[in-house]
Amino acid sequence: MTSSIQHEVSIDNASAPENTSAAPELSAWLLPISPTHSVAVGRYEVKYIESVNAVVSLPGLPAFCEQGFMWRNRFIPALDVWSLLTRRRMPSRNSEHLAAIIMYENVQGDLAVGAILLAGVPKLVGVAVAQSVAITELHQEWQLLAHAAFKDENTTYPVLDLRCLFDKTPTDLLSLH
Amino acid sequence: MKQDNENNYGAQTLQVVAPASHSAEPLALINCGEFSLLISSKDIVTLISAQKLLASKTAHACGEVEFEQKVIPVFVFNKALQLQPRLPSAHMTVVVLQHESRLFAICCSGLEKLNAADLHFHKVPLSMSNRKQPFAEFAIVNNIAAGLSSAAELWRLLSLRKAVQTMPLVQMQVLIQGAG
Repeated sequence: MTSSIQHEVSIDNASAPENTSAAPELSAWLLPISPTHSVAVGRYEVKYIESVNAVVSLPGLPAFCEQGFMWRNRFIPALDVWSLLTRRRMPSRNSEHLAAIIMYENVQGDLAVGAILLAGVPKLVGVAVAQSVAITELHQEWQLLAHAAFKDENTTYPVLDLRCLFDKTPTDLLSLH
Repeated sequence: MKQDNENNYGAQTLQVVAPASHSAEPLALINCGEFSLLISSKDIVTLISAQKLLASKTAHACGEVEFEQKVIPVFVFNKALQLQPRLPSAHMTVVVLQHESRLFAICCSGLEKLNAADLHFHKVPLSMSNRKQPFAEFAIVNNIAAGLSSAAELWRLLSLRKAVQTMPLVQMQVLIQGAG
């Protein structure tokens, strides 16, 4: 139910930004979750960017977490982070979605897979330690969903806490707000 | 073996979820419009045309049907799994279900018989789970997720929606019959 892999990002270094400074630098993916907002995820937490053309919905769920899709013979739950924050669905021009397939360690210590629905093409950026900012500088709604934050070109990005997002029931996640 | 599992940590966790073992009973794919359910055919007592629907005397049910001299409440769920007071126009089939000694019915737009062995079931991920969902597993049939449910699970959902108190007559009649 996914089209051909758009971008394998776990191993390939070709798209990494050039590190010109001597200071140690980290990398993060900027994931557009709306036409105007992006969030960050650690570079190695994003495994693939996929074009998904057949999402399915489960009943009894809020819009932000009701969708998922088949990928390599397994069902991947997909989160619409923009909808979680705004209670509005991500505008979709057609039935095809771009999704970042992420991997995180769940509370049992196992690796688990999820996806974040995207509103545009992600961008890999280098992040220096000096760019980090306190989580309290983020908008309040982001503070419980992020475990770090950094500033890049005058924009502050929350670094998503994937375990917090995916290893909870929707009710527990909504109770954070 | 435990050692092997530990050594293959990543590989173990990336395996496809094995299909759970399910009974050989055929399943009925119940098309509820915006979602679908799979229910064991042994839970289904009979099918009745929605044209025979009578007006409901309760707020939770969308109507009633008569079956073997019993008045059975008919329910319809929306995608949020809330009970709807009105029947959607496409819902033409009433499925009468039995849970223990109780009869109740749900209305749907269509019903199809499937073999469980032909389906691949997935566990509902934690981030998509809700205690009100009447299923813990689902299969994808015709690009639509169909929850593997039962009359017992639907009864539990009706209880959560406080709809079972609205059928005392049906319960009493069936229970008296069962006691005899």
